[in-house]
Amino acid sequence: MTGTTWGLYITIAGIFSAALLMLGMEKKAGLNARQVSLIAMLAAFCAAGRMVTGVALLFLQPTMFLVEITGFVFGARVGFFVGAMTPLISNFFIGQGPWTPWQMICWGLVGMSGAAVRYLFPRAGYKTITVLCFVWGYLYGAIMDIWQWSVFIRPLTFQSYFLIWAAGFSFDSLRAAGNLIFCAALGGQSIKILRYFHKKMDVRYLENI
Amino acid sequence: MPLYKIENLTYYYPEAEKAALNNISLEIEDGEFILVAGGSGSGKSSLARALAGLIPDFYGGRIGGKIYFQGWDIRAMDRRKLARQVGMVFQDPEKQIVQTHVEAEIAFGLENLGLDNEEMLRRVAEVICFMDLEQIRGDFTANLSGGQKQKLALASVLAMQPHVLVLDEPTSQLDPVSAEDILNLVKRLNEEMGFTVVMIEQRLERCYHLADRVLLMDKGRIACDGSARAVARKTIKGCAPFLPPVARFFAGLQAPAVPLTVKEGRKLLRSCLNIKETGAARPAPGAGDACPADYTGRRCAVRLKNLWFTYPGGQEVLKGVSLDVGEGEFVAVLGENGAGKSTMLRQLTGLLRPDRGTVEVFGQDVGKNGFKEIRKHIAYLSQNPNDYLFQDTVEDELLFTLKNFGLKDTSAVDEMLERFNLAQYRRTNPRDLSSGERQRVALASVLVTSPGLIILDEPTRGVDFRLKAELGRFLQQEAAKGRTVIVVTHDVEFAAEYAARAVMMFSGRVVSDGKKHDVLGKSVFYSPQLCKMCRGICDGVLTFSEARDRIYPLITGGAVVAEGPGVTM
Amino acid sequence: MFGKLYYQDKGLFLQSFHPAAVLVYFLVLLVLSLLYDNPLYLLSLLFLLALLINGVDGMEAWEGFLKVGVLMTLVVMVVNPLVIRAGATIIWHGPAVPFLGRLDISMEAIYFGAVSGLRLLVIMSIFCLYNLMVNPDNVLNLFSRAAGKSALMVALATRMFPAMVRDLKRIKEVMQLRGVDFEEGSLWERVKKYSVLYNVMLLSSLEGSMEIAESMQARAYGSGRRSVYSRKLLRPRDYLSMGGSLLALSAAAWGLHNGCGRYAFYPVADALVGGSSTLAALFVVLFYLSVPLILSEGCKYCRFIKSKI
Ligand SMILES: Nc1ncnc2c1ncn2[C@@H]1O[C@H](COP(=O)(O)OP(=O)(O)OP(=O)(O)O)[C@@H](O)[C@H]1O
Ligand SMILES: Nc1ncnc2c1ncn2[C@@H]1O[C@H](COP(=O)(O)OP(=O)(O)OP(=O)(O)O)[C@@H](O)[C@H]1O
Ligand SMILES: [Mg+2]
Ligand SMILES: [Mg+2]
Repeated sequence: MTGTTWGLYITIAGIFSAALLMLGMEKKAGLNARQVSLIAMLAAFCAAGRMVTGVALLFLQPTMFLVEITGFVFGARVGFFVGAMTPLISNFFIGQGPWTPWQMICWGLVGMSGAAVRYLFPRAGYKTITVLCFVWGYLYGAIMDIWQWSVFIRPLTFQSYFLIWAAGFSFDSLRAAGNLIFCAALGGQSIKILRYFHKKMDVRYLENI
Repeated sequence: MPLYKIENLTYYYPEAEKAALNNISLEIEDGEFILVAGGSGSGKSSLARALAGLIPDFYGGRIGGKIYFQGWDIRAMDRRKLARQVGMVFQDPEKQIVQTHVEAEIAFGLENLGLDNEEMLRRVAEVICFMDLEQIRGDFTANLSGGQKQKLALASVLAMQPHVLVLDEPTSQLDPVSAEDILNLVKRLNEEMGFTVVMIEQRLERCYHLADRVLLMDKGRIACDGSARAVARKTIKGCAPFLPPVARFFAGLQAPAVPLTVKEGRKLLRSCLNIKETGAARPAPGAGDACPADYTGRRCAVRLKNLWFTYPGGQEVLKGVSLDVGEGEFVAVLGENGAGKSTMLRQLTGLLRPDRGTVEVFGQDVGKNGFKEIRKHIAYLSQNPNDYLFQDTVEDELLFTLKNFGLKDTSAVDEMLERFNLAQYRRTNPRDLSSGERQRVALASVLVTSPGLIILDEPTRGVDFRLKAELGRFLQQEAAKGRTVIVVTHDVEFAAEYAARAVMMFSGRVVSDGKKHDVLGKSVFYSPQLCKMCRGICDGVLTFSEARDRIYPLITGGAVVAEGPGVTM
Repeated sequence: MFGKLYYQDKGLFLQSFHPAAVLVYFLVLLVLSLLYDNPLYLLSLLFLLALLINGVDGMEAWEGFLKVGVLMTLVVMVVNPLVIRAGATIIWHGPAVPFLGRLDISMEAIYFGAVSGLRLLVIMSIFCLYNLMVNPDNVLNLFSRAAGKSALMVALATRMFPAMVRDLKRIKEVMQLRGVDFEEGSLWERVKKYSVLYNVMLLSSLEGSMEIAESMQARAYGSGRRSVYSRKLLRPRDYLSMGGSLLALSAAAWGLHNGCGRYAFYPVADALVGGSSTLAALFVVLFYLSVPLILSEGCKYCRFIKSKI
């Protein structure tokens, strides 16, 4: 029947766009040792936050807002890398699934949106980020549902998509609430800490005496 | 032409007011083995970084003077060319491994040099054989033990086949036996393969004799430079403590030569003592005399009974550990890496529950969540002082602990800051402090509640002699006040000098427990240098003061016993 | 718990393939599982996967994946009948709902939902097998020619992850002994307490990243073009399985072109076996896809095969 192949297209598109985005970002960036290790470290940090604290705190994860703030402080490229690698790394330990590429794209977008905030509202503080994080809680669910919808549901109508989305609504709300709480509690200090290191990384004046 | 030629090097880190390196001039010849010693913050690591070209390339900052490597100005040199020639191994093995698998990690530097695959395969294979890493070549690097990580870090630098090897405290976290392994390996590299070695070490007894040349640093300057013997002779006069214990011992004797190894020391001691039959020195005055008191009558502070423990998904880590520690005792726990020392401490604090057996602290069974009741009385310092630092100022760090326990009286903060010489840093961000200072802040922040039980996990790593002595004396005072002190350490000299009792652990069991004279005095590897020197000549000597008290009066060779210089550690 | 990679090297034959060969194989499997509609085809794929997973000792892991799969299947099976109006065999006439229209549940829609669920299980199994069969390090190695920096970052982060989890646990203990009760208080208070932990971790790991950068710099990182160290060998088994995958893909394409593997659910579901060509196409595709399995089994029982591949 028509639309059968949509599942294939969407899946392949997910894999390839994740790969292409990574590749493209990399080719444009002249990443030095500091940036490479900073990105990797933040990604490992986020992945650990995603996996470990979830259980103790009702599956709320103190992670998405950090990715967002990373983008906000370090710019789109670092934000994207940290975001995209977060699910990839944690899935190395709990198993990759068909959702990995889409998760990578979503998280990468979260990081890039942080950079967009800084670009659009240079004077924004963590309050703006908090609002955005809350929105991302739902948006993330909405994007992640696309794959499931396109592969398993016929016909591909708005109604069917809505139903799939509604099925995951409670999880999305939990995620959004978690983002809100964590960002409100930790956002300010995270921005402070990351800015401190951002400065330390970039200001390397060299003077001869 | 010298290999390195440094002319008037002065260097400031970015935004630093104090020079990390101050007007240093130095020449290093090809094939030398140089030991760099000095206090904490004296610029040893900075010098190493300068030699490896990381200063100012990586750090920025302000620099003056020139460094020439093989006649080339190091700053004008191609980085790749320099990296081929100079390899640097850093202090913390955890923070220098990049790849997920051992083989890939060894190849990392080679990839960076852009070598072709065949060359890389050959070199990786060679290094794996040389360093004996065949067993773990496919392992996940995150799961290696500390010693394996340290070896791997060295291997991945060796694979680049450098000419010069710069090592920044390469054995700080290893037990004495593994440390010996690494040091011997370095010595072999220097002697058999002609590597030039520059090594930084705090524990001089292990490597002083290996070096051809010793540099002593102080406040960013080179205070002393010369062959090991010459520096030893020079520093003896100046009362500097940067000497291995054997040499320090003879410093007070005005002996004709300065011995550096146990072997030389024994020979000299024999000749001085003019003893015909060994062991005929005054009979040991009851080895226990050094311990001030008998603890049997005291209340028991900690009682571990037949403790068994297995980490989920791991092997057995503790196998029937029993231990009683009385109030006011100062216990040092020694043992190989992975023996289960840290695990035992975590049982003690109630953070981990034993699978079998009981833990009692101050007469209270540490049951489920037991640590909530007893933690007010416990100060616990983990292996990493950075775990304690997150507030904006040092003062807040101490107040945080007080507040958590609901203690209103903040006068203890001032007292602690005074005590640990931190008063001038009261308003500084603890993350801006040097490693020794961080250690003290962490210690102050757990001791501020005046606990009855002090538990320290390797407080001596990477700490210079002065801080070590301060810490040791502080802990002795606390013990004298009736507090119980348990210290895990790899530093045998520290344990011998300050503790009263020693416990040896080996693969999850207590294999030896008793007064330090009984435990350390009889051990081969875990005994301090002076003990090794005096063994068979004058048994039962562990510390410097004991050696002085017992042996100096016996000296018949006419040497004048000079009290004073170089006597206290 | 997070100390080990999901992939564990057990020295099995199926784990010894070159990552490129395995990736091609999995890509073909994934494409086929998405293209095929016929439940019979999907079932056979699932059967093949079950055998392969058994071949890598992965039954336990498979269970975990299936559990997630069944959960998602339920969602799909509920949603499908609610939105599909094309089925002819109505089994329940529901009321009119504002957003969705009339709720007529048809047999075919349920059937389609079930088959979608089956497809989901196949996809889950593919990934389960992937996790058990391929060392991620080798895959990264494969990609590091194209995207060296990303591959390096992923490797570094993967290696830091267990250390991070360990640090987290240790710092938590330290905090507990300094009087922080993580289990007490309202959600907001608890989050506040965790913020202490979080601060220490973030500061320490950022400081650590500088040290790692220094060590990378000292080993000439970024001093010019990097080369790639690869130690995986291409063996006959890799060519065989790669060839098998490609042949399977072309056979499947040809079959689909002729209607084998396609399946119409609406208005009335097709017969499972449309004719002998359906079975023939299925057989050919399955045969090519089972090359690794055949090699693995052959290797167990026949020295000759083992020595040749
Ligand atoms: N990355 C850095 N940024 C700013 N200052 C630094 C940095 N590293 C070291 N310093 C400062 O430079 C001085 C010399 O430090 P260095 O690390 O060389 O001492 P060290 O002799 O190696 O001490 P330790 O025995 O504690 O390792 C110290 O005052 C220290 O605070
Ligand atoms: N959280 C953990 N999970 C699983 N195994 C662990 C864990 N922590 C430690 N181990 C293992 O338990 C053993 C004992 O570890 P422990 O840290 O107690 O040793 P240690 O004597 O303190 O060594 P070191 O001197 O290197 O600090 C080691 O083999 C280690 O790999
Ligand atoms: Mg140093
Ligand atoms: Mg330990």
